[in-house]
Amino acid sequence: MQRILIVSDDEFLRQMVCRTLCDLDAEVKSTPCNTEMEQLCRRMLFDLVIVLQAAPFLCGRDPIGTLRPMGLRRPLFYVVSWQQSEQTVLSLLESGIDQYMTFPVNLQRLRAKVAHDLIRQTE
Amino acid sequence: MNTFAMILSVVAALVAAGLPIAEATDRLRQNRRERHEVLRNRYLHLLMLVLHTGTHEIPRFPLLRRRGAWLLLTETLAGIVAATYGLDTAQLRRIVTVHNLEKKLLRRIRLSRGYRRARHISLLASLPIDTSTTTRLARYSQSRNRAVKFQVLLSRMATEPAMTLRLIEEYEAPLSGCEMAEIMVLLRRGILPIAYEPLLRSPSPNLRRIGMGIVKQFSIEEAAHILRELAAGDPEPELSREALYTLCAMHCPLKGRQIHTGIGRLSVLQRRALMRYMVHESYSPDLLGELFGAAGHSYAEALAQTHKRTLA
Repeated sequence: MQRILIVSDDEFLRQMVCRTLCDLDAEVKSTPCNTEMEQLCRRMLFDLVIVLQAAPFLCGRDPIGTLRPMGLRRPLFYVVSWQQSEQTVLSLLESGIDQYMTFPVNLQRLRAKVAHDLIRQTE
Repeated sequence: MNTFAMILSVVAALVAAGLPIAEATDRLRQNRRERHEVLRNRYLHLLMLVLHTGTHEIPRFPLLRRRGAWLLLTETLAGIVAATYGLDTAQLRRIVTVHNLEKKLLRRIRLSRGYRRARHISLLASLPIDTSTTTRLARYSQSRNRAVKFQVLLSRMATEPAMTLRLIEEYEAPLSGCEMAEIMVLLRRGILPIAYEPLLRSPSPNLRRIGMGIVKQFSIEEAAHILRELAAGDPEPELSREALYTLCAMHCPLKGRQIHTGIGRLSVLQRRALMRYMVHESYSPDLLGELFGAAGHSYAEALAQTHKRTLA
């Protein structure tokens, strides 16, 4: 079974995205903080990590470099945040994230993208 | 001395009696918060289920008769609507109608005051309501509380998207930065038109402000010539300054007579603030020297050399 991790300090948003993805054929875990995200990612290999804030990727650290094992394309990183300025989006894409979406987000579209990427990973 | 000892013992007795009461109140409050959290999660689960399955049945929300539970349901609904788009509003509208949330919220708005009223209006604006409800909010558009007035504007914009520009035009107070940010969120929902030119050339200062917000958000460099005109000759000095900031944010070349005129309209403090912003946006000290004189050049160099911003 594939694994998805959802990271956000906002419990409401975290629960909302969790419940959107809960009927996919994947195990959905969630965590409120980035430290725990790093610990979880080191302990098990997730197929997809959805981070509902841009800050962890803009603080000068390289979470993707440290959390994605060498030579693997997993986990995929999705970022969903309220930030929309061109510079922020470029910085996020340069940091290596695979998908960026802004709030307000279309939940059906997010779900479809996640399902599509999970299917692609199994192929 | 005796009186002092008596006062001291009375105070000690009061503290001794008060502490357990305060602790008990705190525990009760915490329990209620935890209960609300559980209930909110339950409501969220039910609402997401309704939205994803597309069922026409209205779910039975547990403990809805409890005090404050309807407000929790309203907040959950508003939270979902605020963070998403493309939802089945008809389904949400049915939930609002069946559980009478609109009427309860209107009553709460009527009974509350100040920021509490503004918060309730913003909740109501997030719900899928019809125009008749927003007309009932019209009486609050003349409120002395700015937050209330603004939330009424937002609620009317949400229910009458075709009237958005007229509503902003009629809004008398100049929009603040926070208010602009809230309006920009509506832009992402498609409520605001994206055509920036009529907005920038509008006689209404608020619409010009919105136009600048759109230009800044999408970095529309084609609008730079209009921004230069506004920087040089906008009747509102605040908007003239905003035009300069927008040009800086888009990293447009800042040369020409219009820019010099715009800078000439700034006070000393405003010039300094603009200089700081320009350095932050990586404009060269030479350009600052050209615009602000030798003092500008040295100020820019001093700023760049500080450790506040590491230049690549």
